[in-house]
Amino acid sequence: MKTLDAPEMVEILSVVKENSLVKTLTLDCKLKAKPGQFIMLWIPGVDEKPFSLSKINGSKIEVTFKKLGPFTEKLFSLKAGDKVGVRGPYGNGFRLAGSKICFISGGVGLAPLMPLIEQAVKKKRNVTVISGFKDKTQLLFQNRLSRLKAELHIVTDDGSYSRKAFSTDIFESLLASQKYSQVYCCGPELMMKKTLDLCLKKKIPCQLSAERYMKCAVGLCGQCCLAGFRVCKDGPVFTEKQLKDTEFGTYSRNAEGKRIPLHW
Amino acid sequence: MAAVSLSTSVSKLKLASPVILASGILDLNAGLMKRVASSGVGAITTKSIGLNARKGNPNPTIVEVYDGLLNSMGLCNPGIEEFKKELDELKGVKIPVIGSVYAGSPKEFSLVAGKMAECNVSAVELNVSCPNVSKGEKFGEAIGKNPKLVAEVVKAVKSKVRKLVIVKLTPNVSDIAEIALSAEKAGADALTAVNTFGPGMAINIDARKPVLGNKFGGLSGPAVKPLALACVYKISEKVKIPVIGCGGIASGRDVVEFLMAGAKAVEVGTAAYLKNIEVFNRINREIAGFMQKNKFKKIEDMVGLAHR
Repeated sequence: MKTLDAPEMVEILSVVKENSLVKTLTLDCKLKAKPGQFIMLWIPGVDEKPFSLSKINGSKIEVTFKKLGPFTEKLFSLKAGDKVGVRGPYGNGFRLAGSKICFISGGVGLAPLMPLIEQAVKKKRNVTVISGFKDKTQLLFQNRLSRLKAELHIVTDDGSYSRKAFSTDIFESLLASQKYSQVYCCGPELMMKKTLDLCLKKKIPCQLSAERYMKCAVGLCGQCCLAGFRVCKDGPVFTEKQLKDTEFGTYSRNAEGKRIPLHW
Repeated sequence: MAAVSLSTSVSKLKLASPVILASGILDLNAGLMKRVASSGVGAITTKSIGLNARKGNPNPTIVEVYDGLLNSMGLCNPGIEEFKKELDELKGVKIPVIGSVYAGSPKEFSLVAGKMAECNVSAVELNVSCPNVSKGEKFGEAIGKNPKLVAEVVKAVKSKVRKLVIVKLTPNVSDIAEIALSAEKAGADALTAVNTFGPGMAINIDARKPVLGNKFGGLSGPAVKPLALACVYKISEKVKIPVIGCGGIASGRDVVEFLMAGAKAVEVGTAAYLKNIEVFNRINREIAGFMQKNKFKKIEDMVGLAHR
């Protein structure tokens, strides 16, 4: 009999508190997934939401998430030994390309990039990572990053750690002297839009991980539409060419499908 | 080989292919509707739109079962005023757009259908058959199970709307032909048969809980095809207005079955999940292949054959 696309209950093996708002769950879940793909995580009786993978190692996966609403608040309260439902992996994931690569993240947007960054370093690519955080209390994966043979730029919005800057500011200034052959980006949509525009201007191939309110996650309901794409099935990773001249960076949509303008 | 034509008509609606995108699939925004419109379908049906915005049910809203899907989307939509933006962006789409609407009373139906008919659509489809509504709500199936209420809704809408009015029926009744007749007598121009079956349920035995956030959901996909086909056959025996078949269609042969049962066109939804968006062009090729092999020149030549 074929395997049905339905949630399977898996155990939370461990919980790591990354900072006051972010936790990483290690799940006892065999999943053949690529960096950039996502799973639907179900808390029975509560809700089900999409999450990217911050680590993939065959028999276990890690999910790093920020407390944002009722669902993630509930998720934040779960402990090792508790069970959650998982279906997936879904979506296309990143394609590793380029010899001189720049990774740009904003906040917890670093999570889906992390396994790809490690893969790129392992494959001896020239890697630059620019990570922006709100302030020094919200830093993420500093140990994992410092172990890598990569050029690191960690910045904060308020200057409470390292330089006061947005990751896109650093990217823009590096572009004056550096020639990247590939860019990867994940973070708040307006920050990704800035990156997208810079890459289009400089003609650098770019892959960005987009986010929309998601329901079915299998490309059927159209809830997570972005232009003519379904974020769950055609994405969540899109190229600069796909996102050019679309609503990306202009408006998102809520659970009703209503257009919600994006503001800084 | 002799050329065959896939064109058909549902009353005054002319279709280049009998395959129509079913409501609720990839039809909440202009971008996706445009994409499907260029994927081989004869027409597209929009998401069911109400007077006001609605969030729908909590996730999970779908779960796969053997040969089908259970869904409990719950009529999420931005409301008719907001949805006009999407319809405005559909100008330039060359195939007919069918605007699906839902409401809780005959009066509200005429209001929403009236607003929909003012937009860039060729027809309105009245959703009196959605099973995913909560207890106490008078939407969807609550109307479609009652022949008198169906007639009142159709009359109210017909008094306001000049465009084609299609009624989408629920199969979850003891005599679907009776409801179909009632809609026809009230002035419906065409019928779509059928919406999802059920309710159905899936329980995760490790979680010891129903999977769907709304517990119950409507069943679609190949599992329901024989049931939907019987509905179309029974309705076609009783009514003269055109019938659009819907339920589990995933191949050209499936379409031909529905045509022979009496449908003049079909709606396809779940197959877009099982086989992705390319499924529409593939179904067209399969219908054409069958017609060539069996020397049918027009879709019309196959309609109702199983009744003779």
